[in-house]
Amino acid sequence: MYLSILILPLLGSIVSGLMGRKIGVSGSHIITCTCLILSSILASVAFYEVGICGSPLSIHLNSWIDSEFLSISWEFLFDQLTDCSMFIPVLYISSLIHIFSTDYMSEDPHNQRFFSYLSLFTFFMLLLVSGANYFVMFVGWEGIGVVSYLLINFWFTRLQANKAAILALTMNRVGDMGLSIGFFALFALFGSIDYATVFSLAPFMNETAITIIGLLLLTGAMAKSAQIPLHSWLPGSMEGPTPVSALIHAATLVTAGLYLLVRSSPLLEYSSTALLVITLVGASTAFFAATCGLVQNDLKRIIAFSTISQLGYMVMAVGLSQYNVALMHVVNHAFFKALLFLGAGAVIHSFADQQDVRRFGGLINFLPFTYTCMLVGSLSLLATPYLTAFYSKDLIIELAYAQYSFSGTYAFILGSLTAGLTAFYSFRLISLVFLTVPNGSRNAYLNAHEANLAVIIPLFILALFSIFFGFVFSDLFVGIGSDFFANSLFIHPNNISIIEAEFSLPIFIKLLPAILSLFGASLAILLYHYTPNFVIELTDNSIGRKIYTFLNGKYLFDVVYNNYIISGGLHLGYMISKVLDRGVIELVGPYGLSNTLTNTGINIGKLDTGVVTTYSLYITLGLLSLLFLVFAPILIDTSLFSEIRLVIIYLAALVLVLSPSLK
Amino acid sequence: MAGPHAPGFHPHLPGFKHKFLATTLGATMWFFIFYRARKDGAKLLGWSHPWEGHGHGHGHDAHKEHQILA
Repeated sequence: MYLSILILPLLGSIVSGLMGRKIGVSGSHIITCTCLILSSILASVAFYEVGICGSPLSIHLNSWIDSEFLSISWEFLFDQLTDCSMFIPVLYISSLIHIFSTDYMSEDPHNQRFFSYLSLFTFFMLLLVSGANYFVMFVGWEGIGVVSYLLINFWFTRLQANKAAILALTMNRVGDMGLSIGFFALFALFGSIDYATVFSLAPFMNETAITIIGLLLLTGAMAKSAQIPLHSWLPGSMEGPTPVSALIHAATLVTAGLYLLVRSSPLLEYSSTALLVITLVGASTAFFAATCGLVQNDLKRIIAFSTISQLGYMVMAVGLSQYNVALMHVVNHAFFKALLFLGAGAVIHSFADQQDVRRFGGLINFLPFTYTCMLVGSLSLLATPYLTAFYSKDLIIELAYAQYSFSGTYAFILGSLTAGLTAFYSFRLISLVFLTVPNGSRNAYLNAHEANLAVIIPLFILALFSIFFGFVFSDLFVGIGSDFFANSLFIHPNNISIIEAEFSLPIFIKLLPAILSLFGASLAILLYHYTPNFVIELTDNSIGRKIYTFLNGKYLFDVVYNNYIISGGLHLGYMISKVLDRGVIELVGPYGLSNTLTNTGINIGKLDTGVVTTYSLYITLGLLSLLFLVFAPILIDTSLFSEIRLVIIYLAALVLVLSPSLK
Repeated sequence: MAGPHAPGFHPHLPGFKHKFLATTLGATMWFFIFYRARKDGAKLLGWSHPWEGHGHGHGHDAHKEHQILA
């Protein structure tokens, strides 16, 4: 049953991709959706067995690589972390997005290819989270990277899509490089890359070594989970179809980095430096993305920056050693962010494919159901009390304060500010799209209409999850004393701060994020709904324009990358190609070797002069060499020379022979 | 269908089902928020503590029972 959860999406992908012409568009829809729904049902059973009944298991298929110390096998681990925290959101959301896409992509001529990619992505994501060693995980990791490229570039005739896909792939390669070196370091230190071996030996290892490994793993996670400074691929990847944005760039792929860090908790817990860096990166990313989201005008990009910001919260929670809270936020975020993206897709689709929020307005009367879904998603996102994200996001901020450390305070301040900013940009979106006066074209409003049932059902189910999931599962995931995650997570006793966060914080500190959220949301409604001219005046002076340009330009990260790093990298690559590859390496390597051998042959041939005096010279030299060989131990009474005398003679002979060829 | 548009502004306003579903979903969310606020609001605002008033034998009556038993 457990392997069927993995295989069914792969099966759907193969059938839809390779037999697309036979089965047709409807066949592709039916087969992939059925496979995903079946897989989701099996994952629910697995959740009961592994999560509720507490019986994790591992399945060893066969050996893959067996070379000296290195022993890697196709082994899968189904524990609480895999089954409960990753399988459920990945499969549920993937199933719902498959259903959503049957309507959303109905006009596209390449449905089979699209559904094949979607299912293949789901398979690789499941492979990533169920691998029992870092190598199997890396197969899934690379798999989702490749399929992500294919899906962003799905409309491959669009230049922007090409550019976004290449950017996503190359930026992820930077992280993968760090991750690969991390795996080498793991193998060098532990002699294995199995989770079980690595985690059981971690407490006995050198802290500096673990810090280096932790930072290398963080590099991989930073690229995949879009953390500063490897974040700029995520907003660009919104060029793909909206279901892709919802599945990959909100709910699943971006959580792969988080999964890597959470899975490595027994390792990270023994390096306070790595945890400090993770906290700083996470908190900075959360704040940075929220400020950028304030002034974006593309509907999907606003939600993309919101995703980066929420990922920052999750990474922050990992840095604070609160892995279970980070996981809870991963799952919660997957549900409400998928809802927001699908809602955005429904709006875009019904409004003549318009994505600029300045050209919407007044859609509450045309799309009431989509408005309600977006409102539910937004309220959940800004941690409205008792909605889903309240049970994780608020707790992360409280836990930051409860650390009573520098990094904790830094995370608390930025986390609280980010909560206010999140509320502002969420309600700016709601206000501009649904509430203000209509700003779009007349024809767009004439054709605006609510979506079909295939869109309504996923939105409704995700909305219910966004309302109830947090309350229902919070005690299981983050409740004090809950042993739900058993051995799959490890929090060092020194780093446990849930008791302080729950019982000893001042009430003002606990309520501060909620107060800031309320303030941010009210301000957004006031500014964009009631006093829009004031917003225009804000940016109608030099300072306002500069701030706007700086935030809208995403802190000019792309400018720095394009002007300095990318050009420098290209120059370095050119130099390596010209000087090293075709220069030194070829001179010393294949070209140089063949050339030397040819010249040597020619030179040896030249020795055959046919002159008797030359031959007598050779005979004399040979005799002297022989005498030297025989009497060297007596003449030169050193053991070192006696051992290498032959080498010296041969080297001297070689120099003599080859010297004409070097001219 | 294929004829000229009638004069005026005649958009596709949502049907009853969509309106009903939207109202139901919104009402569910607000009901849940206020219901939980009624149950847990005092604890959220710091007016009472989570370990108070669960009725697991730690109230005044239970204290009296302990005294009687003693």
